[in-house]
Amino acid sequence: MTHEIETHETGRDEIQDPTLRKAVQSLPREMAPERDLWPDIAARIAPRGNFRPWPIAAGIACLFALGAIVTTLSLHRPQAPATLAIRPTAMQPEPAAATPLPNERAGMLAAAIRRSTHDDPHTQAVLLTNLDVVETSIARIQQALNEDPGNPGLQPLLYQQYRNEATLVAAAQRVQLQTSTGVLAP
Amino acid sequence: MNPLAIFDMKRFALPAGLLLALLAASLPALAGTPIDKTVAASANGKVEVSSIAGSIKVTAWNRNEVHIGGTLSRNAERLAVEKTSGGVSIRVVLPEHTSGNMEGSDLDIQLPAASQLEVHTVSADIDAGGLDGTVRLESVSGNVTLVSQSANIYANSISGDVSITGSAPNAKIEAHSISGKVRMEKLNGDLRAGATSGNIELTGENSLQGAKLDTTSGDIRFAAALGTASDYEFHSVSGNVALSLRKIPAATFDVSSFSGDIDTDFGPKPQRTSEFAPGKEWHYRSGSGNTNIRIRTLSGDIRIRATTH
Repeated sequence: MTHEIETHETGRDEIQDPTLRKAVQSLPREMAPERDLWPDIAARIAPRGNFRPWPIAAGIACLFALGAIVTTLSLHRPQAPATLAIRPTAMQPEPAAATPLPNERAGMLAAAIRRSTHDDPHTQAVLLTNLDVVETSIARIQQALNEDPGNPGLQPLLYQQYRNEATLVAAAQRVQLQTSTGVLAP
Repeated sequence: MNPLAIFDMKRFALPAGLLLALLAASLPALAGTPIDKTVAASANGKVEVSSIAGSIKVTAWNRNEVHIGGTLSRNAERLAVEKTSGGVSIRVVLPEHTSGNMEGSDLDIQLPAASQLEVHTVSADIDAGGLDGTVRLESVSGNVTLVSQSANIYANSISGDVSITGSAPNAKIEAHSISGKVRMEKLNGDLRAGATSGNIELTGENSLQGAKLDTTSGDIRFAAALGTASDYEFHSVSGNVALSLRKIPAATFDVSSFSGDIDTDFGPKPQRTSEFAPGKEWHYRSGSGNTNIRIRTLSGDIRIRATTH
């Protein structure tokens, strides 16, 4: 059995079922609050105290003055020698890198492992396969943290996976050292 | 028989015989150079060994000498045996720019039992036994096997298996592999073990005063008697964790899995972490509860068994 209740948006407001229509019609047309709420509302929206424009104007003036001082100082600062402007790119300090996205970070780690292990394809394959395992795990833990941010058991797991990432890169570097120089050192 | 056939046989017999003789004469060269070298050493000095490929077998004896036997690969330039300030260094030296598949050297080393042994290889397997000094064994793809009574053990391989049997009482033990298996037994002390996709197995009779075992996708199997006032941590993302305890320890259990199952044969039943999430948790305190056991997994199942209740 279905009851068709049309909404105001359709332009109709008819209830087909007689029992339901009777029940709706028996509802009171309006309900009065238990007490008069307007005085509280009025008190909350009324302006507080007298409006004093002078402190605000003084603050704005201070900001303008500070801005002017900073601008003047920067314009009159001694300029760096021109030679510094044409330093090779490699000598320039790297700009503060934005935190890489998870995929970017995984890509960077994979590239580092490939670079370090190009003489040892077997170990390279092992490390890249395990990097994939770790990255998949990190993604799954982060998804779980999104679903349950307060879960105290997930943070240690995530921390351990970041350590595993570092272990894989360190292992690749050890392989590079050993295969390229023949020096077998910890 | 056709006389022509006899003639043919005689014709080829001499060259064939010469070829065989030549091959036989060159066999030792193909097999490498035998090694037989002995150097004096102190009873507890440091012995460092490094080789790329092949195998390294180390055994203890009761002389204050280090003996190196085995075979040096024909790919190797030389075997460098040097006295160092702390002991003895043994290195298989390869020619510069050596790459690709190479025939390995097989070293068979005897040394004083209390030596501090340190071995590094790339693909060579390491097999050490009978030692009671500090041991550090590392390989990239070789298997690492240690049977010892050492008080300080470190064994690590990237893709090889790691096997440790025995330790001194109250030893400090570390074992890691990335994709290989880590197997341990008859340990006594504090254990740290890790693997990424490999499994970790601690079986047989063990007595531990603390442990921290981590895997990413590998399983953890842990069987040991637990010490008092100690901490035990087990973490795995998708691997299963199975604990077999000799008896219910006086411990506080803090166990949870985000989506895996928890199964125990003592204490209260594990509870769902939430009405809306698949996870489970289990908190139980037995006796004084001064030993802490914490287990965490994301999707791996957790099983805890006590042999005697």
